[in-house]
Amino acid sequence: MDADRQSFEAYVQARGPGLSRHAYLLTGDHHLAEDLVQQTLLRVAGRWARVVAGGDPDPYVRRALYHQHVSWWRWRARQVPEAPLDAADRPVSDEADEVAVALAVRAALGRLAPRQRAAIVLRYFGDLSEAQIADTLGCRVGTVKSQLRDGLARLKVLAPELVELLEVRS
Amino acid sequence: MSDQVLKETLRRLAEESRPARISPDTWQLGRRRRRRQVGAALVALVAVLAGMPLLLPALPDAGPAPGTANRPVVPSRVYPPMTGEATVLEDPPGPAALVVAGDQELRGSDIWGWEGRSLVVGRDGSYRLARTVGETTAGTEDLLLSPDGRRLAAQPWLEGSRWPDDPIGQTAILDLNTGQARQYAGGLPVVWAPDGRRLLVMAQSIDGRLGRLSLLDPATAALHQLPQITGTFRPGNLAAFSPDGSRLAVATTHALHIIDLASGTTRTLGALTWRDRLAGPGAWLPDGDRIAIWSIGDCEDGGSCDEGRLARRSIHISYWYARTGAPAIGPTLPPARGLAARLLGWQRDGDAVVAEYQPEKGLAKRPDDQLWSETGWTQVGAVTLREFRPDGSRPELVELPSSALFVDVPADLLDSFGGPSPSWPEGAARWLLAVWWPLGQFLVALVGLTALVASRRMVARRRQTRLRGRS
Repeated sequence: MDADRQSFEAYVQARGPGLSRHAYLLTGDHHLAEDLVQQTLLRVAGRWARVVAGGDPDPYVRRALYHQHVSWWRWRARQVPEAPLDAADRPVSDEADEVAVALAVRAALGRLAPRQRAAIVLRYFGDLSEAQIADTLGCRVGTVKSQLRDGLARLKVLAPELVELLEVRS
Repeated sequence: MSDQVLKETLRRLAEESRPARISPDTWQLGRRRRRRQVGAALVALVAVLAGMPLLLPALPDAGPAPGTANRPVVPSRVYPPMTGEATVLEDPPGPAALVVAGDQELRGSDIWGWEGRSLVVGRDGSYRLARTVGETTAGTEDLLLSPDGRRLAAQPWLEGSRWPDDPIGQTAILDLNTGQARQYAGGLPVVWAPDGRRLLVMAQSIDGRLGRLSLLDPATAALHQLPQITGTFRPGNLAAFSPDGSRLAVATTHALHIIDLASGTTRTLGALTWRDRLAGPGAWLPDGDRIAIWSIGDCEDGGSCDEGRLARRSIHISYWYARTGAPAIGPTLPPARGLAARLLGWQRDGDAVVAEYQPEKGLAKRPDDQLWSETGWTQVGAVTLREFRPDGSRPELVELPSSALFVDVPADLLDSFGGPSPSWPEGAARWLLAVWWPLGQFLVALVGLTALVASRRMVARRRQTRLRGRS
């Protein structure tokens, strides 16, 4: 087994769960998330030597994941459905308002445009700066700002009950 | 909605995710997919390059507009031919404006079976290949365009002819309107008569001595033998018809002879020194009274000479009276420079059209070199086509590909320079392909091999998968 392959498999072992979480937030579906991670890693494996030569593989892998997701949406090769609300996927929290918030956010996320969704996930889940998001999505910082602003506004429109819930809590 | 609430909510949602099951074959599958992508890109690139000759003529405004009686037709710039360019047999171009032979992309390759792939440019600007079995010259010993450009005389190794079992050699004449070639006995081609109805041919000789000269009538295949002239000769500057076609000047290395074609008589006009050459197929001045002679300034004293000296040597023109052989007054032209020069003819305003040859890189002339020919394939390293003016200027008439070594222009078109050239995108594509010429062939072979290996591996893999599925 060559060194490149070893380092790739070690990376997959360490970062696989994190990638799965990003993929799940983007697709809202376990099976699609799994496919998205698998396709991304196939793409990364083909260029692994160059990826690791550039230093930290995370930015490249993240970019590949998000571009793959946008590509799916753009070409309609795979329909990205809204997140289903079957019982198996429900969170196990005891607090009713938290469950309601989670359900509302997930449903609203599924109805955002893929770039808005990606910007929100990267900003509020990945804790990336606007410049890092711009680098990942391959666009300008100004575009990221407008995607975030529009995405949040649309979240509020799509889930008005969410706003009320949050206002009550605060 | 506060940022913190949204962050916590997304984190809660993410915790619902299940770790993706990653296939253990991901590494191999990813690498294989990458190889396929690279292979497909290479195939696409080669397909585009190979298909360009087919696409370019179909583009709007592609190529120059056809010449008319009032418009110059010899292009001011000639680009290299492309791989897959149609041949004169496959798609006859009609009357030609120019033929150019040379090295690299003009030389061809043993891979395709034709080492010579000279470029014939039609009067309508079309590019065609005239392929020969070996590397060839144009104008000096082979590939002679008739004065009207409708026929191409060549040694019978031109595509469309067959090499004969004939010790004195034969001539193939290709009709550029029909693409039909016909072979004639009597010898190898030397020079066309001004009316284009006769061709001077010479019986092949292997000892460097002049073979029997004959006049060939291509229409009837009739052969008229000329009086015997003996002596060694220089192939590029051997003979010239007078403007009315009634006389023929023939130069051996020692003397200039005049043959009166009506009476069949020969006389020696004068002695030539080692420095002197008959100026070329256009050596007769338009008045028919004077003949131009080149006098080479250096490297003709019997000693050795290197490339630098051969490239720098001056070649001066002088004139003889055709009746007496006495020195004559003629247009004062600037000297040619380099290995050799051939005077193709005269323009109406008195300027001369000259092909000027430069030595091959590293060429050295040695006194004992029996195969030396200053207009031969192995000695010539470049050619330029120039207009020699009495004011001393010598502008270049046609910008030829850098690999061009030999060029010929129909005698009737010497006043028709400055014609249109291919559009710049076509020129750029031709230039790029010429730069990539040797590598391009290798690339085509490599892509073919890769596609073969990949398809075999794919078939084997599918077979294994089917077997696994059954078991």
